[in-house]
Amino acid sequence: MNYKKIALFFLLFILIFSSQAVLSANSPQIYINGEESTEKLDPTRSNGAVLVRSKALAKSIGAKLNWSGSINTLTMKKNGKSVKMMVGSPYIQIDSRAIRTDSPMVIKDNYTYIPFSDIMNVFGFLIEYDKLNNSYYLFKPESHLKEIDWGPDRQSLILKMDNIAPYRIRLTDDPKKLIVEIEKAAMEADFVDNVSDKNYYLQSKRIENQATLQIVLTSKYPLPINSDEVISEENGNLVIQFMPQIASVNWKQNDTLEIKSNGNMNKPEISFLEDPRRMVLDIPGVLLSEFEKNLEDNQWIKDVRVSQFQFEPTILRVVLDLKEKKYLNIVNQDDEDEIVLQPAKRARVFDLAYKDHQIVFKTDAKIEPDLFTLQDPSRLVINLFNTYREENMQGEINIKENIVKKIRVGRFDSQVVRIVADLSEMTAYNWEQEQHSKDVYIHRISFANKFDSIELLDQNIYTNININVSGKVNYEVKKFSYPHRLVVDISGEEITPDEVKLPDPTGIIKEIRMGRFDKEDETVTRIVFELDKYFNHNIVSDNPDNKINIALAKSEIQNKNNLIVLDAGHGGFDPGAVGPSNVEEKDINLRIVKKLESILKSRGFKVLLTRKSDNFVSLNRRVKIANNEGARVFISIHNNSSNKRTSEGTETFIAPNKTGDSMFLAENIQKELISKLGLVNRGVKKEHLYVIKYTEMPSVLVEVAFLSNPTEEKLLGDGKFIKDAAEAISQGLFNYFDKFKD
Amino acid sequence: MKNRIFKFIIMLIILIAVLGVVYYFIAGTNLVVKEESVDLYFSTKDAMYLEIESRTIKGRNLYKEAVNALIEGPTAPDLSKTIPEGTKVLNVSRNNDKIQIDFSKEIIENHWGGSTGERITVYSIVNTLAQFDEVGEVKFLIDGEEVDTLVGHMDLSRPLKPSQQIINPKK
Repeated sequence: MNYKKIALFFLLFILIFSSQAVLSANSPQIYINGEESTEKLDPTRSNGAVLVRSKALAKSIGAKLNWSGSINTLTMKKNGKSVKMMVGSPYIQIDSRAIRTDSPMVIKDNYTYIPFSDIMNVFGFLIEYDKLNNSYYLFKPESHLKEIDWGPDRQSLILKMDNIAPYRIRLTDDPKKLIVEIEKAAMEADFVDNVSDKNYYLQSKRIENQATLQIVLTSKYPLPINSDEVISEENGNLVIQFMPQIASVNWKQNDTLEIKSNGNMNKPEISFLEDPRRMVLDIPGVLLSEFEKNLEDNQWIKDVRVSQFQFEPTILRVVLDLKEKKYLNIVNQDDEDEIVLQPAKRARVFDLAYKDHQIVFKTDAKIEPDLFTLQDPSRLVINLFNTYREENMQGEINIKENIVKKIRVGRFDSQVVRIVADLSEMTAYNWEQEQHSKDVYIHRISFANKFDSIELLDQNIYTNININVSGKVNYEVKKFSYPHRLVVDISGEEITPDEVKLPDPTGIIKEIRMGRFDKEDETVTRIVFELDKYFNHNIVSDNPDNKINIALAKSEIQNKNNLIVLDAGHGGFDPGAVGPSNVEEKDINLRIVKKLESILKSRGFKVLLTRKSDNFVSLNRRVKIANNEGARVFISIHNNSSNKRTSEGTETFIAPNKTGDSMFLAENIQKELISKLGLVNRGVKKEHLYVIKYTEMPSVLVEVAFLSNPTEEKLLGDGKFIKDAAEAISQGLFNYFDKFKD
Repeated sequence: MKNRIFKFIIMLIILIAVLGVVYYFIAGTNLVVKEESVDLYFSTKDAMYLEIESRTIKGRNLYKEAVNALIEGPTAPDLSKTIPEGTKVLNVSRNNDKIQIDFSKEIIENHWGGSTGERITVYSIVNTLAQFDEVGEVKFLIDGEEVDTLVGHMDLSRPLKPSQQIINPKK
């Protein structure tokens, strides 16, 4: 019966499927060299270890098995390795040594079961246990570590392998310990350790139940490693790169001092200190070690001291104890593994001045001044080591500024020119040195900005807002509505708002507030002037400037200067919508705008067009024109389109981020357009339209009619219709102004 | 007789088992073409509003398939299409709740223009994509590039959230 055979086969199939699921719940799965061997090994757990059928294990790894029933002893042999064990005995003999196991060999159903992990290790298998799936994976190592040796100059460790396996460095809290982990790797039988000596100790470990080889290097001194990017592959070996270490400090015959390391050195940071006179070089990324020192007889240096100033980040500090009246300069660092110093030429200091709120002076050589502030009275001290003062340089400068009151030049000793700036209060400062020409270096010392005063001057037509700052600042003045307020945003981190007295409100200003907030990378100081009403304002000061002057109009009289920006949509290569009889939107828009311009001008308004002819102007540019001119109102003229000729009517848009003024203006214009043109009223809509969204004043975008609709296209070609549209828009604008006056 | 019933039962068990195993393997792979009923937002004839037309779409990338369905246009005679002829979806990717959708330049070149026309195009896409729970906003690219606008009105320099006011309140 064929049926029965097929049925039996499938039943078996299902049985295997389900039995596997049941099995995996208690005893583990075993895979040898990727081959599923669970069934034949029949694994069971005993005392935490896994016992497997010895015969099957021997067969799957190709070992020879010998059973002596009389003494209950089993011997397993492969490649000259032999493992011997007795039923019930906790000792397993491997060649000539013995190990202890918690789960000795047992006999079950006439089969011997042996602890497989102990035995597989002996025969060179790696074992990885996947706890989640309760599975053991046994395989031969994919790579072998043959040798560990030092690289050139002991600058690196080289791990010689026959094959590179995935690896990583484990950093420990102990700087004297380094752990390298290599996956699926093993030590070769004749592994050579060329590293261990009285200072270094190398160990290899295996993490339990993982096929990972751990190499642990322990050192007497902190190991010269500071990041996890130190390991790389080179010529099939793993190389662990160490940080450079100082090698020597030598005084040479030609009056030069050489500081050498066994690797690349970064540019050091230099400072001079007095009492005793010394030069300090902080070299980043270099480690301390035993180094050669030879200063011989020289007239410049008494001694050199080297210390590990810092570990994270690593900084080596070299202190040169200078003999009296002597200075050294770094002359070159062509060779990156050495720093060369030579006796320094004394620099001339000249042209001291106070310009643009900065102390400025020049030297004829590059110098490393020492700047610090002192209190009671507040002053900034600038020590210029190894310099002399040019005879005719000013010795004293009096300044009537708030921060710097006076600059004095003194002589600290014959080697040091000292410049002292008397300050009105302690403040942050910044020094910079710029090479101006071959022998001229310009030094500038600037001070943090602060508010000197904020004043309101109430006059006939305007209220003048004067914000006085100690140095030049960038600022922005913005007008917001509902409620009316004028906002001045000053950029610059060092402005301290707490210390300036805010003036009492006057005129149409009813409240003044100040605050700070972070915008992108910088701190902005914001001064808000809450207004009763608003007419107009003019910014009188430059930008940047150390004074911000704003003239705020107190009444409507100034409104004759109000600027209206008219924006004819599209233009140039962008025709906008094109009607069924090829009327182009850009032309209609410009015609309406020109008509509107002449109406507004005849009523005494100032008008500016974003484009006057058929040229392309980007949306961003249109916005900038209106914002830069501080327009009072922005009106963008468009004509509409859709993909169906049936769409029709007049529509006006405002941006969703603007309400109040814009909505008021849009409603007035839409109302006049509907009553004058008589087209379908599509209403006032809020939408994220670019030009009206980013303009800072009340803004609307009018879609007069649909060019895609043949009837309306015809209307838009008619001069009377254009004139009517312009008149309706202007009437809406006038109504807006009238109602707005209140 | 008994034998026959036995045979029948065995065959039934085998059939179920085989189907189960087959299903198990196929479901595990990612070859399944997803199928879902989605809402497509099309324009009313007067371009005043968007209205929903439901359709079942199939594909491995449902965002792309939904927009492809929009490009095909509506079946209802009182709705009109919102995306110009020849437009292709070049790429759709999602990062958190933001979808970035890259269209070929035909979406600009073949566009009918107008604030209303542009608005209809943009929100038919944004509203359609935002129906998927994990989508919050949509950023438009044209030929892989960021743009300020499609045809000179809408601000596309930033991602857009779906619009409620453009949906026909009468429907």
